[in-house]
Amino acid sequence: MSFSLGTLGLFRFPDPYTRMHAVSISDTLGVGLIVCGLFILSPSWILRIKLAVVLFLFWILNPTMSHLVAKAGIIHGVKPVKGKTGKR
Amino acid sequence: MRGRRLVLFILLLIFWFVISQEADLQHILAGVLVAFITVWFWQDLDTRQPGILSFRALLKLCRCLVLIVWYIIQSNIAVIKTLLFSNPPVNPVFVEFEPGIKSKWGRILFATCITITPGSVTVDIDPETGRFLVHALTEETADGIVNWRMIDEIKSLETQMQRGAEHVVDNGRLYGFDTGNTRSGNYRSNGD
Repeated sequence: MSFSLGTLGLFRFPDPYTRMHAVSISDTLGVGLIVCGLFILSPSWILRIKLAVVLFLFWILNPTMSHLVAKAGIIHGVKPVKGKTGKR
Repeated sequence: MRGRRLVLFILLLIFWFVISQEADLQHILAGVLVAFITVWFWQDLDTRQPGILSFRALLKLCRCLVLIVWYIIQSNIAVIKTLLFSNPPVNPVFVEFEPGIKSKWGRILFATCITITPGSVTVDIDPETGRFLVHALTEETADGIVNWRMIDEIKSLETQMQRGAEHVVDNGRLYGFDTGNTRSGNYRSNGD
């Protein structure tokens, strides 16, 4: 379901930056729930540790790649949809 | 230096055994060899790694990880609500702010925390001033990030690590702890 929501976000959101937020639903919640399910089903603890390592690596790689895509977009002048910019 | 390399070696060996799931002579020898070569190959990165965590700092880091899982769940629900029920779908904002985190690893940890929670992406960090440029899906998300509890958690972890580093310096051995005052060059390529 979370993967479907991520895909729906790709169609509904207007620019690459906002679409990244939608896709991250599937990357965090979707993968997290799949790993939780497999965690319950797995027969041994070593397999569970492996699953935890996979989830950890996924949650490290996902923000790194999102950051790179966003930064590449800014450097190459991809315009965000009309919004605000503010200093706090 | 040696202590840190030993910790890295042991961690790599544990990772090898978890992944290979075998403990016969061939696997043990291969694991030791690969872990040793990896540690030797990356020894130049020693000075860029944070110092060895004390038990208290490790507990604090675990608390941060539990908190971040909770925030991931919360922000997922918020983004799903925005996606399904708001019309127009989004009101995205770029927000620039300075959380006051000094160390490089602290900034990376905070940037990762921001990006891993759906609804916000760290676009850039100024290495000199420590200012973050963040893209947020809604204005509420942007406000939430500026006043986020994780900032205080990471700052307190930073203080704990700094104390540990001072202790190491007091003992006459500098472990190359990064206090945020050192810079390894400007990575920003767009010149702004």
